[in-house]
Amino acid sequence: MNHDNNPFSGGRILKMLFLAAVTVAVVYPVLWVVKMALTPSQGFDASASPLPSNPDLSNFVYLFKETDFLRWLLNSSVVSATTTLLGVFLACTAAYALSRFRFPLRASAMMMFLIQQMFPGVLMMVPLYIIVDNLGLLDQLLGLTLVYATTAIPFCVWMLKGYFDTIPRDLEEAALMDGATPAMIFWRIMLPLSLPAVAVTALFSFMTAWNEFILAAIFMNSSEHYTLPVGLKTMVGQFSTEWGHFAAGAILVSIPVVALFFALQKQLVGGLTAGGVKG
Amino acid sequence: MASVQLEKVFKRFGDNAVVRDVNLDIEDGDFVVLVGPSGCGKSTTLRMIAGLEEISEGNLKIGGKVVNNLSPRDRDVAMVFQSYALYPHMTVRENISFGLKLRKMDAAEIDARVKNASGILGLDEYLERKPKALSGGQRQRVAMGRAIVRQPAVFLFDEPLSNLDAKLRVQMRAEIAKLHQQLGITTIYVTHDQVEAMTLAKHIVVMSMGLVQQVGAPLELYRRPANLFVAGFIGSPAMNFFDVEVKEEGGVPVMKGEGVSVRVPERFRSLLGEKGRKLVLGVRPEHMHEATEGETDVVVGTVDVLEPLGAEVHALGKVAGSDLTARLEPDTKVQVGDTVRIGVALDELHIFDRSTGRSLLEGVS
Ligand SMILES: Nc1ncnc2c1ncn2[C@@H]1O[C@H](COP(=O)(O)OP(=O)(O)OP(=O)(O)O)[C@@H](O)[C@H]1O
Ligand SMILES: [Mg+2]
Repeated sequence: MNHDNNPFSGGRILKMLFLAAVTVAVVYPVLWVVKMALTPSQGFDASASPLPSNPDLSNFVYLFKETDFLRWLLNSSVVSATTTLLGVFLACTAAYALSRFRFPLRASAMMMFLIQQMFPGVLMMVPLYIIVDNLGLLDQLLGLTLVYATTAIPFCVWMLKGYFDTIPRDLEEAALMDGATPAMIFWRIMLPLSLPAVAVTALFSFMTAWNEFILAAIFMNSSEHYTLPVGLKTMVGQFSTEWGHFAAGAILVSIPVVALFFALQKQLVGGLTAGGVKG
Repeated sequence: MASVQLEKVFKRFGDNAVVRDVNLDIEDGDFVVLVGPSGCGKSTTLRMIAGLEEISEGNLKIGGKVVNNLSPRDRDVAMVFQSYALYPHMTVRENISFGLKLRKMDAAEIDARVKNASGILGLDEYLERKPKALSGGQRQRVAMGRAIVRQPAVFLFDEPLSNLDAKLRVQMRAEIAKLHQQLGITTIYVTHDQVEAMTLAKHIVVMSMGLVQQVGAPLELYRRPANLFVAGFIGSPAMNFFDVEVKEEGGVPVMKGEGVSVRVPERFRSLLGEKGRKLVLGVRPEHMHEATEGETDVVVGTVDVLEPLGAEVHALGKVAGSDLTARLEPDTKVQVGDTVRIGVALDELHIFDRSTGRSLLEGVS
């Protein structure tokens, strides 16, 4: 670490300039989206300024009044929340078993999870379509939820197993001596200690479901079953695109993810440093 | 409180037997220390008693009842781990009371027990802290507190002091001894530190390579080690060993080796068997002194290192091929490089058969 006391030293100013430049590069496009969202379609000025000249909320009003936006928001929320709960619960229990118990095909199971992750999702499209169709779940939120949960689980299992592996066995043995059953050990020792990893997997599962477009577009046929990404895509018209509406929708879509990030921030940062020192 | 018996207990990992034919009879209220070098199977034995490791063969009885197939939680034993194994997400109070809560004890009783334990261990100020905000010694106490509040039939300790610095180790050792006096709970304690074993134990079990070498009170093991292994392991600095054979000299049997000539004391003569038998003579450093002119029972060696400790001086060197450690008076004139004649105390000799390693003096008072 460089303890530079003079705030105006050359090196320090250079560093500041660099950081400022990077910040502008990152924030500028986001501001532009905000500008688009706040500018009525007619009055759009293409100047370089990221500030809207006469802002109003007409694009947002349009979304809520003239489209199924609320319906899609609800669909997305239900699908994402269920995916997260189902994915995290199944991943936790599977990862714990894979981390702590020895059973036949254990190593192969881990390998299968990994191999599945290696193929691009599109490759799974046709088989998934057939399976979901056979289950009679096409154009239903439940079908989509199942698909999302199964695609999120392999990553979550690897992530959680890696984390469980770092928790000393002594802790579980101490709990065993204290009179805990394996289930109590899992719920009262392992899970609380794994919160950072659980937070990461929860966020990952949520975003998998929240942002996914291709599968949702293929499985969902009726507008009332669209998720947000699919719904928003309908605004990108064949001949003209209502960028204002699209931008407003994009902002609304990103709010829950950002909120979740902030809510889990403490755990996430903890997740990066935990495991460094134990005991 | 309860007695503990191990009857012909084996532990195998695959084909590898790491604990072999262990028989122990531990009385109610005893303090037994399992001691031995790294990898000799001490922890494995302890973990079998705890129920954390399955018993491959033989019986384990606690309070007279075979408990081989009981899970740890039904054995009424508490264990203190080398790593302390405190639950990092719980406060000291929660750590200590976790086991009681699991047993659905009522809150008032839990409070009373936690209070009592924290009083004994001096943890009152720290009850609401998390383990990471404690020093090593304090964590150690919390680990003990967790065991005490359970009021178990048996305490198990696996090298509980090995992560502490030397001073704290001595202090905690005294506290563990005091605790045992106060509570009187049957205790089985694993360590590889023979000083800990000597100071804490009512009975010591010396193990090596999965086998029990000897069981006895600390001073019994010190005075009459049953074999070369125990002789070399118990006592610090360790016993000196010299290869010798018995020869007649002027009608008296004398143990002779390179640089060694020591008469066989009268009372041991009948035990040594035929002449020419290959033996090992054992002499503890504290039973050696600088020989006077006329003294004949001596070893002759060279001094390579002198370690002045204030109250005594340890002279390290060689007698022919064997290592020599002798405890000398603090005002000794011996210098590094000197050839010295070291006298041995005839009453304190140890004599072993070289091929079996067994002591020939077993049963001699
Ligand atoms: N799960 C296991 N699988 C295979 N071998 C094991 C297992 N646990 C222990 N062992 C072996 O058993 C032997 C005894 O181990 P143990 O832990 O009881 O030694 P110890 O006397 O406690 O040693 P230390 O003083 O180093 O703790 C060792 O050789 C070890 O390698
Ligand atoms: Mg051990």
